[in-house]
Amino acid sequence: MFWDGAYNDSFGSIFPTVDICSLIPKAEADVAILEEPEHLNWFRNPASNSGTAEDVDILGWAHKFNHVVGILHTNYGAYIRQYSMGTSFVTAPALNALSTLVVRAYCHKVIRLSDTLTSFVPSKEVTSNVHGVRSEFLDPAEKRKAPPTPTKEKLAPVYFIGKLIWAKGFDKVLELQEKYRCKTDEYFAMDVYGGGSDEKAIRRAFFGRSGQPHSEESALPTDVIESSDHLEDDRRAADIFSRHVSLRLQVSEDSASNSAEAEPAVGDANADASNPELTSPGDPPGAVNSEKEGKFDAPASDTAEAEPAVAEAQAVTDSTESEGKGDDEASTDAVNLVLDALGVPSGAATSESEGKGDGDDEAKSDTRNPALALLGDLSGRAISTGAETADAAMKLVESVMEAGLGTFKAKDDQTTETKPKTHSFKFVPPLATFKWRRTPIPARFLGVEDHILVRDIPEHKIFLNMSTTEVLCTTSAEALAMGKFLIVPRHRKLKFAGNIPC
Amino acid sequence: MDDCVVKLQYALANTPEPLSESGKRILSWDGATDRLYEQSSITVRDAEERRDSGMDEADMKAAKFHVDTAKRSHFVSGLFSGKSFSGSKA
Repeated sequence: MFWDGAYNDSFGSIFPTVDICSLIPKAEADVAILEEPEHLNWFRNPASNSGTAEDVDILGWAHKFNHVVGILHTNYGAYIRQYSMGTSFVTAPALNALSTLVVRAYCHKVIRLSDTLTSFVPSKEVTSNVHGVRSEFLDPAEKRKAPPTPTKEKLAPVYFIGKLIWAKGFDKVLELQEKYRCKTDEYFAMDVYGGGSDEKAIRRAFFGRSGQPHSEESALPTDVIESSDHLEDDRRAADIFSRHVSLRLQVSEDSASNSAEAEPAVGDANADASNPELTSPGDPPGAVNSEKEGKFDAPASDTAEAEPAVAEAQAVTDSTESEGKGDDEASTDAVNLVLDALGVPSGAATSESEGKGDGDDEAKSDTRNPALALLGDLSGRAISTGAETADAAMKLVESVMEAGLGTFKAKDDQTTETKPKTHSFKFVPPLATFKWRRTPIPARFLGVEDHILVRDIPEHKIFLNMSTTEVLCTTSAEALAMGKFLIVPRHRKLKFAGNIPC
Repeated sequence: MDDCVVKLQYALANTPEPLSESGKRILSWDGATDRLYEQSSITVRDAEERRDSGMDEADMKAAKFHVDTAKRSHFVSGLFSGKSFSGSKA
């Protein structure tokens, strides 16, 4: 039986336009299992089928059926907040309240797939992973006929498969690499399958600024002149921040076509061609001095430079958040907080679709809107132009930029008599710590593949999954089914009946 | 994280043991269905307690409230950027 539905633009999802419960004959209404009962019932209206409804249908599932089980899959509160849907910070808590109402009204028992999901009606709920893996993952490995990779490079024993977004724990992987190197004097090799909007930043974090692997013998010393591509990136970034057009206007889609016409304002975007960071006036703290020394070899991180505005941004964010704050992913980096509010198309709340990437988003945002692309580069994360931007969040971004980047005010500008209303400054892109990487991590990014491929590759014997935000660890379960070692953070319990020794 | 390094070193130096039959069952959809049956049931005593405590009645009131509100207005659809939900068929 199929029910009529319609796509809702605001939520980006399909909802039924009829009352599904009423479609089922009373004589057959024994046990009902509702997948995502909140999603199914938010808009439930028993009169929507024919204008009238029989009494037995009015009160819905729990009244018509002998037993109703709801299975919760998605943390919609976090989902709606992450994608900045609705124009108010109270939307997510209101949605959770509505979900509580419909779950209580229409279910006798509720199963949460994992503890990461919101609890609506504790007295009716249990947590249990009632999902399994495809049967082929449990089949014995087959002898492969052709090599899995076109090159003759050795397959790494450690692999990862999933979306290439920071939420999948890549920061933890990098941290583990550094700890491993401290103990053994070398990084461990790993093969990474998948695609995602953060792939560019993740590759940079693994390989260094170039985003390309190169051998240790040919690793560039830190005082070498950067390639012309990087200089061009820096000049483009400086141009964006030196304009008088507000960042909000530059980022909004309407002004994307106008951005090419805006004149650069005070603040020379052209730096010395030989070494732009070293000759930037105003001597910004931290980055330039360290660049001169060229000795620092810190672990990679996706944080932008710490600014005094970090505390200010945190305070503003905290004061505008509602009681739904508990659902937020914690972050102490102000830029990342702000960009979360903007809507980063990545994260935990969505259902799992491992092995499939959407690397097109970043390419599209780069070509459509250079200001958004710059924000993505600053934070090490991609920002989809498709995400709706809350107006309040954009004001916050501007205040951070004014307060923080105002410290880079050029010495030359202090002598001008007529100062524009906004600060003029010479932009020095924050040097993310991945820039310091002198030795690339021996990782290979092998593109999108189905996880079942790994079953027949005995060389891939360790699945490393450092994510802590997933609802279900489907890929982890698949790895276990294929007889691999599984390394996960300790608090990520795989909620099966009984423990499986790894 | 130090413990993670130790586990990684062990994994690199050893070969994983094959999964037991019970482990395979747990991971399969058959095992998942077993868990679904077990977790979705309510005991007779639980059902009686729900009735006696008034929980069943409260749940019925919740359903009535939800239905009445949906009839009166599109307040639910107003949660999502103020647009009213169009009921055009997919």
